[in-house]
Amino acid sequence: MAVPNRISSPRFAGSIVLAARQFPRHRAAMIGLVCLVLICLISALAPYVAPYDPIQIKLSAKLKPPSFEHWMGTDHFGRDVLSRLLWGGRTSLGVGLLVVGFAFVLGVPLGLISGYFGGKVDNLIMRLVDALLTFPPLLLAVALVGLLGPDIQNVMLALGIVQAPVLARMVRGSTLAVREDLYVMAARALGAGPGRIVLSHLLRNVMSPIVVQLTIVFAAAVVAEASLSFLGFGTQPPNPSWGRDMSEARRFLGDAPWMFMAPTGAIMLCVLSINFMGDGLRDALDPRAWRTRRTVAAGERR
Amino acid sequence: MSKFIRTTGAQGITRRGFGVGAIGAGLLLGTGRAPAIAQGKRDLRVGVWGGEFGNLSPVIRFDIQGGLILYNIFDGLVKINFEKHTIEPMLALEWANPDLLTWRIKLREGVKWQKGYGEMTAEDLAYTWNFHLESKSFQVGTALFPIDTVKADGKYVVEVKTKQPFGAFPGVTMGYGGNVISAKAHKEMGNQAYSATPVGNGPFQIESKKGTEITLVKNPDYWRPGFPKLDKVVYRAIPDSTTRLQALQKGELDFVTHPDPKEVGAMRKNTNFVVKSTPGWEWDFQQFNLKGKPDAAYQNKLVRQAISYAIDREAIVNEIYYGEAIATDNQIPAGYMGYRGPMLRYPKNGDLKKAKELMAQAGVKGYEVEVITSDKDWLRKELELVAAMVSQIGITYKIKNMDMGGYNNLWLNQRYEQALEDITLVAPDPDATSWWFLHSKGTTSGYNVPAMDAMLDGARTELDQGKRQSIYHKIVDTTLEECPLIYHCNTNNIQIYNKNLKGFVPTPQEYTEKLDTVEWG
Amino acid sequence: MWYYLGRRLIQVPLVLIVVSLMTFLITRATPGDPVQIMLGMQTSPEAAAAMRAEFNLDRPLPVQYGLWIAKVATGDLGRSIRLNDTVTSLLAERFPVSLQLALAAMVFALVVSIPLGVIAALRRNSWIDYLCTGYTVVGFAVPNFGLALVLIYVFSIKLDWLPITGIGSSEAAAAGFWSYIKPFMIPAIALGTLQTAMLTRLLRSSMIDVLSQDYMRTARAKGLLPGTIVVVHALKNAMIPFITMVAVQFGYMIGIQVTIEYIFAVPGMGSAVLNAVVNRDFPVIQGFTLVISAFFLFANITADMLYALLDPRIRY
Repeated sequence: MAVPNRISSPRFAGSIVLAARQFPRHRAAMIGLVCLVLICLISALAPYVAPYDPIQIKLSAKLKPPSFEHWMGTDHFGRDVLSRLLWGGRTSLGVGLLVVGFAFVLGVPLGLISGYFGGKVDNLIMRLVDALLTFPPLLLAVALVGLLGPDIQNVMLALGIVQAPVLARMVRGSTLAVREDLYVMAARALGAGPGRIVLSHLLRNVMSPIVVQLTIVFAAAVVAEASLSFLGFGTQPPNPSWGRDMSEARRFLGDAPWMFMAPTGAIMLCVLSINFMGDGLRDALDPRAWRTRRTVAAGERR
Repeated sequence: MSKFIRTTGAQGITRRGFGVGAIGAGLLLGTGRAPAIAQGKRDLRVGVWGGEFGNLSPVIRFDIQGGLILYNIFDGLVKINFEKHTIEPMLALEWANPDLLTWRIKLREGVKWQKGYGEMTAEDLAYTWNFHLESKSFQVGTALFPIDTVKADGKYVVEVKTKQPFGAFPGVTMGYGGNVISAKAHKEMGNQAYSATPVGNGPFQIESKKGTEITLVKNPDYWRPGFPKLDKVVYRAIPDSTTRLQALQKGELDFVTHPDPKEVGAMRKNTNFVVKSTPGWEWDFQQFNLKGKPDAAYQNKLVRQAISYAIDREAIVNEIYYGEAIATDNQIPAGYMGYRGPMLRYPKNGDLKKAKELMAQAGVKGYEVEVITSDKDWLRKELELVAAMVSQIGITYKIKNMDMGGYNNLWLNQRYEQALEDITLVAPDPDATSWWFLHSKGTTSGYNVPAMDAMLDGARTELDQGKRQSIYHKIVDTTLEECPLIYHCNTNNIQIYNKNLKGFVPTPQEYTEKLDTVEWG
Repeated sequence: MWYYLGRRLIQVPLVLIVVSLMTFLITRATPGDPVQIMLGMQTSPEAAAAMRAEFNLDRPLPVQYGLWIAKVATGDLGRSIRLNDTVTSLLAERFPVSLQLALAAMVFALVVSIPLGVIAALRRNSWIDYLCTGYTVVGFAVPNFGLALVLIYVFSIKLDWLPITGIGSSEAAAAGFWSYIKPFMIPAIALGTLQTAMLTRLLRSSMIDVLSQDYMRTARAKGLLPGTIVVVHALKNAMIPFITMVAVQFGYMIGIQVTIEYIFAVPGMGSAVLNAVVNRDFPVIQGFTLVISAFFLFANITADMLYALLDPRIRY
C-alpha cells in the first residue's frame, strides 16, 4: 500500500485553482453567472433602483401597457410592474438564498455525521431523512406555514427542511465513498482526531457535488416559492413576489399579458442562469480527468 | 334567531360558491324507474366552485357545497318568497301557534320518499327533529334551540312545544331546520350511509358520486307533477374560477356558478350565454376584536367610525366585484323587514377629511394592526385595497392571509385584532342579520353591550311585527354609530349558463336554488 | 439480492411509522380545530363535544396516535371529519386518478426524452443537440403552473384541440377511450415537462458515457456493429440509470401534482391533502400522506431492484 507523503486530498488538490481556470471556458456557465449576479445585484438594490413604490395603489393608472413612464406597464391596482419585479426579486431570490443556507446547515452536518460514523447512527439518521424525503414537499411546506404562520421566514424554513434531506443523502454518499480513502486512514493512523478529519478532509472532498446540488436547491427554491405563492401560501400581500404576481396576473392574461410575462420571465431567467452556472461548476469541479484519477487511486488501494 | 352560514372558502384556494358535496358510494337501494337519458337534451352539467363534496344529509353539518345538492334532493317544510320576503308553505301546508309556547304544523299529504320508502308523515318530521336534538347536531344551537318537545299528533300533524315564545319559528326553525329525513330509510341505512346517499323527497335523487362529481337523476315519485324538467344533472366541482368559466365557454359545461366577476362584463356581451346577477344575502365586513387589548386604538369608537369613513365602498364594488355588488354600510339588506333606505349613510366614496377629523378627535395619530382574513380569494384582494385606503389616515394594516384552519382558530377564539370576513344569511328574518354579530353570547367580535343584548333578545321574542321593525331600526342605528362591525357591500350571486337553458330562477340565497324548473328550450 | 430486498422491505413500515408520527405531530401542533371548522360559529358546545368524542379528539395525544396506528394495522384509516366518508373510500377515488395522471405525464416524458436523448447523444454539438439542450433547460426553468396556463391558452382556447377539464368525469369515461384520454393531455404535458428535461439530460449523458467506453470502441473497430446496433447496445446499457430514474420520478410525481390538480380540477391526491391540511381534517391528512409516502418508498425500492436486475455489475 503506497502511503502518500503528505496528508492532502489528491482529489481536491489544486482543484479550486483548476476549477477557476476551467469555469470560464464554459461559455454558457459564464453567461449564467453574469446574469445571476446582475439579477441579484439589481434586486438587492431595488429600494434605490425601482422607479416607483411597489405597494402604492393608484386605481387611475391601472392596467396600462408598457410605456415610457412604466417600462413594464402597470397591474390591476395601478402599481408599476417593473418595480414590483425588482422588489419581488428581493423576496424570491432572498428566499432562494436563505433556503440554500437552511438546507446546507441542516443537511450537510447530518450527512457528514451519518456517513462518517456509519452503523446505528447512520441508520437512524437515514431513516429520518427517508421519512422527510417521502413526505410530499409542497404539503410539508403548507403544513409548516399553517403551523407557524404565513410569514416569509416560515416559508423559507419549510422549503429548507424539504431540500435538506436530498443534500444529506448526497453528502452521506460522498462521505461514505471518501471515508475509506487512503489519506483518511493515513490521517487517522497519524493520530488526527475524527473532528479534524471530518472537517478538513471529508468536507473538502464532498464539496464539489454539494456545490452543484446547492445550485439545484436554489433554483428549486425559487420555483417552490412561486408555487406556494401561487397557491396563496407564500408572500403576504401587498408585498410583491414573483409567484404571487403570476397568480394575480392570470385573470388579466387577456387584457394585460405583461403582468404575467414579467414575473414568469424573471423566474425563467433566474433558473436558467442558475442551471447553466451549475453545469459549469460541475464540469469544472469534476472533469473526466479527476474521475480517471480516482479510479486509479482506488485500484491501487486494492 | 339568526341563522347564517359563513361561506367557507373551504377548498384551500377557492372562490365563493358552492362546491357540491358528494359522498357517494353508490348504495342504491332500488333504482325504481331509472329514467332513460339522452332523448333530446334533458341533462345538465353544472360547474360549481370548491374541490370536494361533503355530507349530503340534513342531520349532519353540511358545507355550502353540500347544501347546493342537498336542496335539490330535499324539499323543505317551507320555502322563501324572495320578493315578498315571506315564508310560504311547501311540505308544511299550514302552521299555527295556538298558544305562546306551542306550534302545530300540518304536513302535506301524498309526498313520497325517493327510492320506494313510502309516504312522508308526521313521524318523519318528529324523528328528524328528535334526532337532531338527541345527537346534539349542528342545528341544536341554530334552528332548533327553542324546541322543548316534538311529537306527532296524527298522521300529518306535528306538535312542537317551545321553551320560550319564538316569533321567528316559521322562518328559522321551519325554514333553516326544515329538511326532513325519512325515518324508515335512516333507520335502515344508518346515519353514515344516509349521509352518503340520502333518501329525500325533492325533485332529484342521487344516482352516483365519483370523486368530485355528483350525478342526480329525476325523482320519478316527486310530488309535484311536471317537475323536474330535466332527467339528469351532473355537478362537477372545479375550484378555479377561470378554469370553470373556460370550461363553460368550450362547451364542457352548461352552467357555472360563481364565475370571476371580472369576466361578467364580457360574458354579458357574449350572445351564447346568459348572465344572471342577483343581489345576494351576503356581505363583506370588517370586524374588531373588542375583547382584545383594552388599550388598542380601535377600541375607541371614533377610530372605528374614522375607518368606516375612510373606506371607499364604491371602489370596492368596482375593483373587486366589477360592479356586481351593492355598497352598503349596514346589516339589513333590501327587502328584509327592518330595512330602511337609503342603503348607505356613510358616503359611498368615503370622506377622508371627516375620517381624519375623527382620528384627531380621538387623539390617535395612527396605529399598526394585524388584520387576518381567510383563504377566500376575493376577500384577500379586498383586504389589500382596504389596507391602502386606511393607510391614508395613518393606519397600517399588516395583512395576514391565513388558511381556513388557522383563520378559524383565531377568529372563533377571539385571538385576533381585526379581521375581514364575509357572511351568508340563511333566513329572511332580520334576526339572522344581527343576533350572531352583535349579541354578547353570539358574536366573535367580543362586542358586549347589555342594551344591545336586550334589544336583540327583545326582537326575538316579540311577536308584533311593527314593534319588531322599530327595534331593528334602532339596532341598525346603533350599529352605524358604534361600528363594532363595518360593512362594505352586499355581493351578487352570479350564474352564467348556456343561452338555450330556460326556467332558471336565481335567488339571493344561492345554495337553496333548485334546478327543478330548468329545461332546455 | 433477495436478502437486500427483504431488508429494504422491512424498513418500509419503519419509515412509514416515522412519517406518520411526523405528520401527526405537525398537524396536531398546527393551530386550528377541525370540529370548530366543521360546525362553524353558531353551534352549541354540546354539538362540538359530541363531534370531538366521535373522532377521539378529546383524548390525550399519545392515545389518539396509538388508536390510529392500531386501526391502521387492521386496515381502517378512519373517517374524514369534514367529508364524512371513510378515508379508504376517498383514497379509492383519488389514488387511481393521481396514478393515471402520473402515468400520462411519464408516458409523455418517455415519448419525448428517449428519442431526443438518443439523437442528441449521437449527434453531439449538432443543431439537434443544441435544441435538446435548449429544451431541457427551458423544461427545468418553467414552473409547471406557468406552463399549464400557456398550454391552456394555446391548445385549448386558441386552437380548441383539447379540453381543459374532464379528468375522471363519467361523461368522458362513457364516451370512449379517446375522449377519456383527451383531458389528460395538457396536464400531462405540464406536469411531465420537468421530468422530460431531467430524463433527456440523463439519457444523453449516459449514452455519451457508454458510447465512449472502451468496449464500444472495440466493437466498432472490429467492424462488428454498424450504426444501429451500436445504438441499441449502447442504449441497453444507458437505460439502466434511466429506468431507475423513471421509477424514482414516478414515485415522486404524486407529491408534486398539487398546482396542476388545482388548475385543471383534477380529483387527485394532492388537492385532497391540500384541502385536508387547510381544514385540519386529521384522518385524511394522516391516511393520505401515509399512502403517498408508501408509494414513493416502493417506487424507490423498485428502482433499486431494477438497477440490480439490469446491471450485472451491481450485486447487493
